[in-house]
Amino acid sequence: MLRFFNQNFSRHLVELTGDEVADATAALSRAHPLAKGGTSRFSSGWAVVTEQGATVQLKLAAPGLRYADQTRYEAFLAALRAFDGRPIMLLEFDKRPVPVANLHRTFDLRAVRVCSPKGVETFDFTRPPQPKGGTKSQRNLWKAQGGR
Amino acid sequence: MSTQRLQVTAHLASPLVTSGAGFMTLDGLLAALIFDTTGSIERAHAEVPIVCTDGLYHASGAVLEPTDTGRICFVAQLRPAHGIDPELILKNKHGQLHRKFDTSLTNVMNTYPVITAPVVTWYCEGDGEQIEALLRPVTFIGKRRASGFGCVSRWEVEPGELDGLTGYADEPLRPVPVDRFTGDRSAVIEDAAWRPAYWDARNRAACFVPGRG
Repeated sequence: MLRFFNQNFSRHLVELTGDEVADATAALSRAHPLAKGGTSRFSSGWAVVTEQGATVQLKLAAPGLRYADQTRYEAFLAALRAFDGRPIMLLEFDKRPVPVANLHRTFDLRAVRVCSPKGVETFDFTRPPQPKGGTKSQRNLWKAQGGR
Repeated sequence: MSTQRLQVTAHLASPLVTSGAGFMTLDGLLAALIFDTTGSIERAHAEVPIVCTDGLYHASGAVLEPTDTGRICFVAQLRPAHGIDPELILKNKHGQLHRKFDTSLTNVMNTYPVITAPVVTWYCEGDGEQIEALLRPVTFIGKRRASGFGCVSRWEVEPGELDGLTGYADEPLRPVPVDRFTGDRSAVIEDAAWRPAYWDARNRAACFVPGRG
């Protein structure tokens, strides 16, 4: 799992040392050069990591990453709609870095994982959220795709 | 080790609090009990009296039939302690330490899933006598044990029919890596730790997992 994250995300941001936990931690918590100058760490926005590469909202000076202006739910929805069975990783950033313990890939739309500093949301994307239930991401993604 | 298929049952006298993230496998519970008495992680992983095939323990996750589920909050008053000399920390424009570096009491609230169920059941292949000897002194399981949750009134270890990996309908009873699972392949696949230490992200792989209900 960490090999997937480091090969498709971390290697564009930090020099890999072979210590999978340290490399992933460095990518998620260190400040990285921005395209417009200066540095910033991932303290807001989102990332979608796939076997074909990673897309992030924060415009970094890292040529191996793709960049997009979508909101997190627009980006997650697009990734889930394009899901073809190959693993994806959905990350939402906040002031606190996402801990390595919270990194999980999604292999199945019945068990979508959204990783954040607070924890990991797990939900069934093929079904509507329970009335007054479900996780925040599940409710927002369901609304975003036209559910009520 | 004389092994057989077993069914292990914990009769609960109070609701069970879990992290909500893992599967609470029996080998994980037994390894924690061995660690409590030996203080050795190596022994905790090596001496679990359950059949293990290439790192995969033949022990199911906790099987529960809840009568009620919910969430419960606990507030802890923590007094932060800092090992760093405050004189070495950059001060704000008023010449004082930033508030987050103070050592006054801080309230921290944690929320956990709570499950009310009469029993917790596990299925495994292992040494019944050794398993019973490890479990007999255990009076609380799960999280928030010190707050009275997960009180076990009685343990039962009896012969069973399942191997701890697949259930009666060929469903997975614990995380089993996709390439090693021989049961119903329509089950849900998750990124899950399939071998101890279950908290270690390096042990995660694509696994067929039990339904989360």
